[in-house]
Amino acid sequence: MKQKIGVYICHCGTNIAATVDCNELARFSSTLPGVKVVRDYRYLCSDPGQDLIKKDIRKLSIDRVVVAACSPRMHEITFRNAISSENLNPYFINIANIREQCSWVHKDKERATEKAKHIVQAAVARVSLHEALEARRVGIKPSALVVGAGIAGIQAALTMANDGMKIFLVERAPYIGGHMAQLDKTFPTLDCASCIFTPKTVEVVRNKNIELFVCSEVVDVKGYVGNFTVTIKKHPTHVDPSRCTGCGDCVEACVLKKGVPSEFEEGMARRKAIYIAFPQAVPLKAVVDNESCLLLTKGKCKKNCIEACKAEAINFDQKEEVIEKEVGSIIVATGYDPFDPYLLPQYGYGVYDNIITGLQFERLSSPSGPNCGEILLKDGTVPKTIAFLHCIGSRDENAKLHCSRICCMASMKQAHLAKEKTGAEIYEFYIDINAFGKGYQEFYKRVREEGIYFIRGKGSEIYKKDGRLIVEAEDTLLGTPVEIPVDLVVLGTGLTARRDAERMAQVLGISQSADGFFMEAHPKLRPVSTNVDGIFLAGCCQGPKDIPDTVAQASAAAAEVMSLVIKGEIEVEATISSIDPEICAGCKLCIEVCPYTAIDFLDIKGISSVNEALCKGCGACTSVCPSKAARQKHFTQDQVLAEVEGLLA
Amino acid sequence: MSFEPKLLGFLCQNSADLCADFAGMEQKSYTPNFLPVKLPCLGSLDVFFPLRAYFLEADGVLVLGCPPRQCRHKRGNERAERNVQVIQCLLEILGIGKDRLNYAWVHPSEISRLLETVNGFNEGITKLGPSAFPQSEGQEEFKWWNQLKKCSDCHQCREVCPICFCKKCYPESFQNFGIGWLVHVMERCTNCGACQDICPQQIDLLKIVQSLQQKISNLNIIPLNFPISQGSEKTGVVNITK
Repeated sequence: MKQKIGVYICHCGTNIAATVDCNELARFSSTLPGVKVVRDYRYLCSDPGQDLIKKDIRKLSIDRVVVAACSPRMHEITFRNAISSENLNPYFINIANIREQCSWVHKDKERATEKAKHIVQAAVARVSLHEALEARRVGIKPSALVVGAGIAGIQAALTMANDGMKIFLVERAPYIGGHMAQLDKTFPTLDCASCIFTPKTVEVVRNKNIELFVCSEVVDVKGYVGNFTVTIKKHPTHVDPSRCTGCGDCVEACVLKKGVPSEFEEGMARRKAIYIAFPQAVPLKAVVDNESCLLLTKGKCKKNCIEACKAEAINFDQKEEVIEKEVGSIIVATGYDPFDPYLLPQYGYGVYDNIITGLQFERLSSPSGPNCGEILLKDGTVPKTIAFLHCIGSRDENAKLHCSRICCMASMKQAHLAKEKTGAEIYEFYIDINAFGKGYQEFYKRVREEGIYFIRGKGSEIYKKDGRLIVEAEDTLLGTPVEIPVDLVVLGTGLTARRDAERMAQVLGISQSADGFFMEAHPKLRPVSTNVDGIFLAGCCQGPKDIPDTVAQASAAAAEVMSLVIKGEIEVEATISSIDPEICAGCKLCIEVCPYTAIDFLDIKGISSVNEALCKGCGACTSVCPSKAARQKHFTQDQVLAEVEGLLA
Repeated sequence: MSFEPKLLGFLCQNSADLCADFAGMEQKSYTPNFLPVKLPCLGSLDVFFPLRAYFLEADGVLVLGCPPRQCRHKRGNERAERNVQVIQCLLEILGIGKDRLNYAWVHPSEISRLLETVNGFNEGITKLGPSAFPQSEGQEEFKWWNQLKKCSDCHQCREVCPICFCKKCYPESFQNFGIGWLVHVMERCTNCGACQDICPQQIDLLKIVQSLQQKISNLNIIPLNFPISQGSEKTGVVNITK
């Protein structure tokens, strides 16, 4: 039977029509083989636009559709749904991308029209070879993995667990809470971070639906939306958490006298080899650090901790555990790493005393911190002048280009706390003030009125003269260089992607943006989804965010997961591989190259066969198959060649 | 009028094709003679895809995939990079020249890299001039192609081949069986010579395969069947270009 192809050209207002001559394109399209009808319309994605196509399917029995419009990423689904509502197979459509890849990138109307003709010609040639495919439906397991237990992970986990879902919450550190647990007060309301946060961490432990894995990492993810198999590696802590009471006797007993810098205190205090990160840590269990424990590193120790532990919880025979879990969806909430100030040596971090990062200031200022909330210099005196430097590592051609969003507000909040606690003279060196959130601009005004000096100019260098730290900058409002002697410098270090974000991206199969943060599926319309169905993003792993935005995104991610669970099943792409049993010679090359072990060898028949549940349609098997028995549905050799021919003819 | 090459691109839908969409959103212009074809992953890049383009008088083919270690399907980009080198050998044998095929990687967010790569490739091919393939007569670099052209589609080489069991070695739309069959056996040929003995057109099939295999073996690339199924530890990049 001869096919009847309908070609529909969208003007997209003037987005396409301004650079592509749609009349000429329509005239040309009508000359293509198999084309029965050509229509152009101002906005094809609108209801009347879709009705045009539907009507032609009914009245003219069009059985193949080419839509020349925007990228298939925008509306392929829309048009597939439209034609399938007329009982036409949804794969009998081809989108010719004449907006993103034509009209928007070319200015010369004649050339753009010429290119659009080639693209439509290729789409027509290809669509005539399209095969009817059945979308597969897969069930969604009502469980989820949440990677990272900072505020984002906790919020997402609690939202889903309270709805009855089974949640596996995996945290690399020995405690949950992430960076928020380190903060003193939060801008702009100045609530104490612990007061608003601790109830949530406690709730995580109490919640029966949440299974918490601390000191653990996700090392492998297999499967697809609704049916992931995740592998969690649980590092040995050498303390049995079911016995440990968190009394801290072992910490007292540890013989490592000098201790090592505490990660939680950002190096502002020292901890023992067996330690509890901080008094409010959840779960409140001691852990042994493999790298500083004398017994584990040197093999020699008095083992005082074992003796001190009344609960007999310490066990140095503990081994690494590898746990597999089945989940339906994954929320990634791995957070951020603060910018490493050693990378910008002009600020003298690590060279001079009393130059600290924003997070270190938070610990200084925190009542549970090393100085019990008093802001003191290294020699124990109260600073008389303090400088806060904004944009350290952010908005910097030599470091990170992005704005870290929170540092302006965090610096101003810290300035406020410092003023309150020390009465010191305070200078803020800034480029611009980004007070973008609710109540933020008001907070900025308040801090200004507290008598804090704002100098518009980025701190360029810090050096020592006559025993004092000198901050050098250019005051761009006065147009003069300034040198201000201070006692304490707080570097407003920016937020960067986790150092191992690349490894995580690989494990999950998701992408990273240029700045290293994980990439969302669409910057505006799908900000919590990733390019992998069933994997969602929450918090700073997607980009710098303040706490309200993080919580909002975490709730959104949880809602995305829950909407999948409520539906119970999902349609997944039918574009997977198949192996023609008539042609397959059983060479097994495809089995060796399949990245998903989705091809099995059928011993009885002596041929290979694709496991449809595992295949993700990458097509590696098709390129190695010597006899072309392996076919990638919707990207078959004939279909792609037809497209090549259409483009070049 | 100055020469403008016909360029075709094979773009991975997870990186380069997405990047091209982003370029559109930001209205960043590149040369309009570059025509894109989207593939699900460059691991699926078939030798016949670029080859067909040269038969249709394309002057250059650019393969654009994911950056090292960032293939969504583990090692599809490495596979593509490898296959491109093999195809380049074939292009040399046919007289097309390996410079008319190139592989580059672009991250979805690297719009400027995409533009530079496409425009740079356009400049390079413009300097190279139009491709004489497949018309070519008499020139030394086309000697093998001029032999292969004589193929009369009798399929006897396939009948005697000890390693080929297929019913369909190459796509139907492809015109020249000799070349299709060459692609089909090039990485597996055992050099028995049966095909050359039986060819009624006296094409030096064995010699052609041997010189092709010689070129491929000089590349020192990862084998055709390099495994990608063995867990995430194995996904480290293998430097196959330098």
